[in-house]
Amino acid sequence: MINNKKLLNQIFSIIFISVLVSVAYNQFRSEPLSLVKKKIQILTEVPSLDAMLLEPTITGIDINLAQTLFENNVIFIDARSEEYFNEGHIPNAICKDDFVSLVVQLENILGMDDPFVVYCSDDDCGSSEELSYELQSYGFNNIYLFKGGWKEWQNAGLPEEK
Amino acid sequence: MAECWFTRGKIVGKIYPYLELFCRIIIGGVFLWASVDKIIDPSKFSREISNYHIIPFGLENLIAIALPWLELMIGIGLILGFYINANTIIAGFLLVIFNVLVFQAMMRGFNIECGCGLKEGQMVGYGKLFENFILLLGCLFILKVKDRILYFKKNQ
Repeated sequence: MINNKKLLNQIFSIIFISVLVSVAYNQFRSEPLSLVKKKIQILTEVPSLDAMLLEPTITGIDINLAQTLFENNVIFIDARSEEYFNEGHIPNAICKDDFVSLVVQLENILGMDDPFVVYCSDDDCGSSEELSYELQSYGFNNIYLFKGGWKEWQNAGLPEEK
Repeated sequence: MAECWFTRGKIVGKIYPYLELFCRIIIGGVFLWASVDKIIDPSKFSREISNYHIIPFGLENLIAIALPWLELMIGIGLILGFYINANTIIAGFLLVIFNVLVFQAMMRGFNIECGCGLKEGQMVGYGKLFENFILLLGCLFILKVKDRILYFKKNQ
């Protein structure tokens, strides 16, 4: 029968070796992941064009900036499923369940450096962030993430489309 | 030592070592399989962890880097028979944590991918809770069985 002290030693050894190997492996990856995640910065006013084009970015925006970009005819992408999209969405927003179809449509109407806004249902949904990173990996350089999403848009009484 | 219902019966008792090996292979296989995609793409796993909205201080990345390797170690250990008790206890502990995270996400109304690494697009829900619960029962069974086969005796 194994004693408790030996068992605890084994448990800590397994955990310690796993952490050590994982951190070492991460450092040797072509693109190592930072150990602490950087939070997406929330902007409240539109930056200059030069600043926007410096490097590929995903920038969080609040409801006021989302409204400003909407009024300036910036494209909105709805990261929810088409089922929810059809129940109501931001006017002229694009929604595709299939990522390839979405990218094809975006490439037809936007350049890689053109700005667009991605949103989903609300601050908790996560799919807008997921889609933003996928689009950034694909090559789009200027992505705005409206974290408040459809819920905040509706609550603000802004235009809707069905 | 008095016999309990678990150890009673010669015929049933002979099956336990094989059942224990079966459980080890299944649970080890699940952990091994779950770790692969996460090791290949830790940033995706980190985003899936973020969706739970419960990890503080930006620690999602550190968890996304380390947890898959721990799962890999557990998987290999259980299948090959290294440190069976220790690996089973860590596996059971992780399964309890996973279920707490899935349950809190469900209660907060999050319709998110579980980030389990087993199946693309698998969402949080009662199915996932049940799946983890069955694996947890398997872990308890492994810890209970003393007559084992195909394992490294020096490492127990």
